[in-house]
Amino acid sequence: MKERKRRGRRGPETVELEGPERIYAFADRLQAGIEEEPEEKERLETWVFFELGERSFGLPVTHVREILRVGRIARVPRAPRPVKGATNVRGKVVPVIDLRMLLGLAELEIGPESRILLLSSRSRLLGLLVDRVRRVALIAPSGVREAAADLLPAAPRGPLGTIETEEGPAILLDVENLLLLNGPERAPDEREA
Amino acid sequence: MRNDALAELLGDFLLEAEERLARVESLMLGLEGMAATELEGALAEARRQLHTLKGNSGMMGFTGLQDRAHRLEDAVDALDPEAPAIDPILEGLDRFRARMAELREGAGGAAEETREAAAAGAAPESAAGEQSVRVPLQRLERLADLAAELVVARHHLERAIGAGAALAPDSPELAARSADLWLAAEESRRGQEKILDALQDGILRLRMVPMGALVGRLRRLVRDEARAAGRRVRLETRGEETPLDRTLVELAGEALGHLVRNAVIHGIEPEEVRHRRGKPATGTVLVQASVRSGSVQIEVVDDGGGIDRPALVEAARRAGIDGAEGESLHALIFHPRLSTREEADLSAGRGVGLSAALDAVHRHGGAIDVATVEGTGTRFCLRLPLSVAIALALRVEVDGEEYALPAGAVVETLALDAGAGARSSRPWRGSELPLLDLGVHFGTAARPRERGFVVVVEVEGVARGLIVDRLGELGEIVVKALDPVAGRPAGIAGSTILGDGRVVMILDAHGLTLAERVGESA
Repeated sequence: MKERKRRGRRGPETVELEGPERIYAFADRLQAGIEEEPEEKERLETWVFFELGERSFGLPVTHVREILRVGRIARVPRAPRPVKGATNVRGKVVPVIDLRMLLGLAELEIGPESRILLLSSRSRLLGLLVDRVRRVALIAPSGVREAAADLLPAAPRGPLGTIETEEGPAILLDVENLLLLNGPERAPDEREA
Repeated sequence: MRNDALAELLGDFLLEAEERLARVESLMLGLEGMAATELEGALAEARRQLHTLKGNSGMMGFTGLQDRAHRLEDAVDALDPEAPAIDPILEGLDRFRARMAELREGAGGAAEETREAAAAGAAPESAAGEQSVRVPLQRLERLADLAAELVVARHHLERAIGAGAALAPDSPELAARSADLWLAAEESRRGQEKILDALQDGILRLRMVPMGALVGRLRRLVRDEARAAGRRVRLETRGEETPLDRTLVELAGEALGHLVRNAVIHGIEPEEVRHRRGKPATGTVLVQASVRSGSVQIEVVDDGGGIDRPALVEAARRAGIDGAEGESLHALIFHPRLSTREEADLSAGRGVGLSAALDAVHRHGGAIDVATVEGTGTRFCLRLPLSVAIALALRVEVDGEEYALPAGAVVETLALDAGAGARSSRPWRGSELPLLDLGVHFGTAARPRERGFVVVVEVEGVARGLIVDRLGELGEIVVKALDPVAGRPAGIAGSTILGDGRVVMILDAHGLTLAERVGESA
């Protein structure tokens, strides 16, 4: 029955990733499109899809302020392991977290396709290092399925769920829980086991 | 947005109310021992302040606060000029402040006020996290003027560059005029540098408040604590105009509060003892602020009995601290267990303990030193950075990584003697200087290096030699905090961005003087 609710006419659209304006413009356009169709009840959500190795992941676009090319990352000695270092984003020092390490996956060298998702929450800015950004797409919340318990065994918090995309399944991450953005301001490695 | 505007309005109201309360409090504290002629004027001003406070509270829709201000006004009216009993008024001011604190946090306790405000057509959002600053208009205008001057200076530079670019390379005209053009460009650059310095200075000044802003609080503290302890104590202040970074004011107030309370309770002797020692019956606590080589120094000096070391050691033993005899005076006074105990005994619920205050001071790159002479008095010296935004730092390089070391802690730099790196210490100024290889400490090297430099740092009397590969320039850096997601890495105080855009970590000199060498256990 979940399948029935998924949108058939308009599959997930894609957009070139150049800057936040484009993403927001795209999101606005889609939003406008939704409002033109009063029979469409379900509110679609815009997510950013990216890859770590062969697997696809998604984060809600509301948290992603920008997608950056990887610049110089300064080492932060003795920082918790997932913290790759700190980088300069227009005069602000932003910590970069290696999502691979955070999720307990094998570490990988930074390549030409590597990107930093600049996340913002309240007044904080955090960078999330990923292998490759694929696209921004709309998803229907009703299409989200529960994730298998052992999907990301080493991750600090389980994912929100999985969703079927044109390229296959994608894992939807709960960014706030993952980085404790809204929790007490603690380092990711200080969480309870 | 509507909510932003309301939050801003609430912020302004709280800021102004706090200023008025402080003024009334200082007027009240001054009444004791004031001549009748001055008294009338002081009372009139207090009434005026409270009246305005009442009006503003009403305007914000805070009827509870309005009512409190009204009652305070009545209480000031009812004061007997012959023998003003100010205690009820001081208590009233405290209650007013407590209410304001609730409003600031938007806590449940403020629900009543918020409801009242909502009924009055306003719905103030929590002002938490929003900080406001009051700046004299004149200073803002000066900054605007400087910005305009900078634009003019840029035009000059552009003209000089344009004139040079218009001439063909290798042309005789260019050769003839090159000296002039260079001179014009250089002159313009120097002009811009001067304007930029003034601009930076002006903007930093916006962050500064005079130390005197804290004095009212301390005066009240001395009065209350002296009364409770049955002592007669006078607070003297010097250097009230000394600038203090706005973000350090709370911290300094907290630390000074502890030091001053400590001086009143433990420093100043009972009257009969003072009499026996030939001291005046009234003890003196002096708070003296000054700017010394890039940092603010605030001394708290009392003419009391000095610190009784044997008694302190005994207290430490009772508190279950092992090896108290061997500890330094500093370590004993600021021991978490001792200061906590004292806190619980004497003034429970008054903010953080002395040791926590010291931790906060360290986190901001400051230090507290202590010196005492038995029978004569004690001197605590609180040192804080002049600005939390800008610091003078020595750049050092270790295993290809650059770091910035706050210059205030650096005593000297030495070349590393061949083979000395592997040793845990080296002779220095007549004693052994413990060494720490930064590469080993930060995990970029497996073994201490054999060649390089030793940077001697000293904080609160503890010196340490930090081993690095290269010494870089000494220069000003802009301090930027690291997000808590990076943890609080031991030995790292923050970060900065260099002129070329690189991010560099700022070292925590205090943390490094105390850091254990890798492989050593506690």
